[in-house]
Amino acid sequence: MYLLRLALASLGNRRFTALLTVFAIALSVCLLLAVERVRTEARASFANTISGTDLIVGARSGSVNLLLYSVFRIGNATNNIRWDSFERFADHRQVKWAIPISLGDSHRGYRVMGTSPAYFEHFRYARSQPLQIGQGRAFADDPFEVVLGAEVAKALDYRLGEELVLAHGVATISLVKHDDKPFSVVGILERTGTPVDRTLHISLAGMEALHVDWQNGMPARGAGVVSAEQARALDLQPKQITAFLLGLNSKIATFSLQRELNEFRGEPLLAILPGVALQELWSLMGTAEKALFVVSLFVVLTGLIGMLTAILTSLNERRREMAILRSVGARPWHIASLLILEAFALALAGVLLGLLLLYLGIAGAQGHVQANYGLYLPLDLPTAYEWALLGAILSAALLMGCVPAWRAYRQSLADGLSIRL
Amino acid sequence: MRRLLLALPFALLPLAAAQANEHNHAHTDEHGSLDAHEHGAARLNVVLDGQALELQLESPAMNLAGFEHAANSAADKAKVATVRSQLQDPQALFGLNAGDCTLSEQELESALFEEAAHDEQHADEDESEHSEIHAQYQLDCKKPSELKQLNLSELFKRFPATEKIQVQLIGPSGQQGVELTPAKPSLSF
Repeated sequence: MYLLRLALASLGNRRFTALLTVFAIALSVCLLLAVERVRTEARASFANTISGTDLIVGARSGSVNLLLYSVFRIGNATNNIRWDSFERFADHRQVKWAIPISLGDSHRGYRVMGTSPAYFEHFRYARSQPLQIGQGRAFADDPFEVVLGAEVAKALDYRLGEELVLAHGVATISLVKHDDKPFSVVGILERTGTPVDRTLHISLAGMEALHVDWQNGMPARGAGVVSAEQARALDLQPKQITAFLLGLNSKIATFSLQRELNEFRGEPLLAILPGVALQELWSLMGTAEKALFVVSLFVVLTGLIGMLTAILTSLNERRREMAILRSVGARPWHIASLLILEAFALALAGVLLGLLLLYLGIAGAQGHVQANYGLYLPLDLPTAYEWALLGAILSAALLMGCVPAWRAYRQSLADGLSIRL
Repeated sequence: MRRLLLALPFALLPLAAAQANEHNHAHTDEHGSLDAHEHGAARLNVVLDGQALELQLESPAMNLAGFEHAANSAADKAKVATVRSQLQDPQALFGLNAGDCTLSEQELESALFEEAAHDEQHADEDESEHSEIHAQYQLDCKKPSELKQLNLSELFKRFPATEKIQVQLIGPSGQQGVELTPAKPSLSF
């Protein structure tokens, strides 16, 4: 115990270098844990985004691409699919429910999704949790009604009954607005922690009404304009959608229906199993994750080597200190353990400060990360794996402490009270 | 000369149009795209729902039999017969030794098998093409909760030309997609 006190007192004497060393270790530990945490949370939140959907169907492209745009609202569809293809498979005897999805518009950076009431009934996330409407109701017959995700409502401060204008395209600042056909907010969903929170949901009829008078990708001018009132009277049956989600009566039928969809002659369709596509995505991201992890490991190593350097360079200055300790009865192994303890104390302080930095960082960035990346970072205690990482860092520090300890041990054997420099 | 060059596209127009027609024709007649065919790789779909377990194996014939042409020689025919009998044992092939499963239905499909059965009527057509072997099994598992994993080591052992199998599995814990290899032959349900 007195050894530890001595080690701390000696460190206190060199507090500036000691503090810098601790800070370097703390930053590296914080980085390592942050990378680890973002990685695991990203996986968990991705995996929680969709549940209970047996097949996702879209235009033929890549399975990861289809998964990203249909579920995560990342990227864009290469093509749309015909409404009659959707109807054909929605009525398939193996299909229990089908949710059409139509994408392409946005509102102040948040994606707008056209869908049917089936979405609120059948869509599941996390562990088979249904969507809950927190305020108001789902959209009904009027095409110009919108149901907001929790994050949209909170960030843009919308309440029930307010009117908003959607923009054409998905850029954050869009020059073409659908300002002739405003939508009114009829419902706000409960928070889900998934991309649903960052989505505005309108009916397919609403999506069709927005573009009913468009020609060649441009809004109509003059006589061609169809007002919101006129649009209500029109037949707003959509002709195309972006993708659809299917739930089946029996999981046994999944593969045969997937085959049937992929071999559909009407148009090139791609049916994917969301769970399988998600794992494909992991294997793609796995390399990047590993690279990040390795980089942060090396940063930790650099921090520890910095500590080693600091202790080693201090050894010469501390010959007198060691000699005095020897003269009052300290044995060489006392001197050695003093240095190991010093290294350990520095690393421990670094780890603790690193944890503190991590939690401060998470607490500070939580809201921002959730709003912009849909990633919820919980303020949980470190997991077993994280403890193991921290333990490994501490043992590495102990091991490194052996180097100066060994040198000091040799020196204290050779040096007398009067040091021959 | 220049005028002639200008006229060239118009002269070629009917040709292009004819070709476009032909192109369309080909599309309506057959599927838009063809299945992937990669030697050494196979695909396996597994679904466990309640007590029903269904497996579908699709593999290039190359992986299983070592050739893809019609079996003409006696040696080839013997080989096809061996492959066929080896495929008729899904419990061993897929390592399904728990869960008390019994085979209720199986279906083996391949151009190779057909020709072995009723001789070389259309052997000529298929000779240049790649051929696949499709195997489909339906099992009835009395204790599905005991069925912990799928193990393909026996399959890799019997058919050493198979290097990897892309597995899609739907089980009680959801959907999984994994590539299994002789070094990592198992996957838990």
